[in-house]
Amino acid sequence: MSPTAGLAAYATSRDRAVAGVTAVAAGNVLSVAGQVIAFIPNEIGAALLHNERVTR
Amino acid sequence: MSRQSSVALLLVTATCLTTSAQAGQACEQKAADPQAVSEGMALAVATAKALDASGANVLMLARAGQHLSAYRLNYSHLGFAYLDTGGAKAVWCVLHRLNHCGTATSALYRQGFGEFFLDRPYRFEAAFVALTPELQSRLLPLLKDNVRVGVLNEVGYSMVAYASGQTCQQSNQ
Repeated sequence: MSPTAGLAAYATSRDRAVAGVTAVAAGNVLSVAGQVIAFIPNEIGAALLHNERVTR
Repeated sequence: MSRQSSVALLLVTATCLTTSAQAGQACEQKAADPQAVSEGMALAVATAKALDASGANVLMLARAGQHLSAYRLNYSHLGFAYLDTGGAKAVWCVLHRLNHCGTATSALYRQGFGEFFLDRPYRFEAAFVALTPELQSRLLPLLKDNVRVGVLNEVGYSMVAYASGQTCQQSNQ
């Protein structure tokens, strides 16, 4: 099942919320009812995502 | 951040989005909206391209975390951006100090431009300035070394910079 199809099924079965996929240069933003539920990075986006705490 | 004649101050801008934000980092807990994520990642991509074109590998990078025009300031947060060439593909990183929400403490973080600009800034706009070649070459190994960058770390955080302050650190000026 594609991400879009999965979101549509989720929205229909749970709360009829509006689901969407927004394509950007760095990947796809998945949202339901105006709230982001996931960001799926492509190769460009993956190179821009890193989070490391260096000091305590 | 002052502008020096010997270096170029460059701006990278995405379209404006009005959101509330605290200090250099948004502390309010709420789900992200798709436009903010799209804008933040677009700014991350644009900034990486601009830094690629700069030819520098260590720069100061600023974001507009909060609205400071009343103080005639455009940017609320600074970090060191550097190009990490140690992996299979060169990637840009930001080493910067983040205040822990609701506390007077902070820590150093190494993040990608995505995280840096997904922190719900007041404006989706970045500024950067390349350091001198000599300073770049001296700082680059330090910025990659977690032990050395932590030597001067101070947990206490002040959101206001005091030139003579010796007990707190901050990340906004």
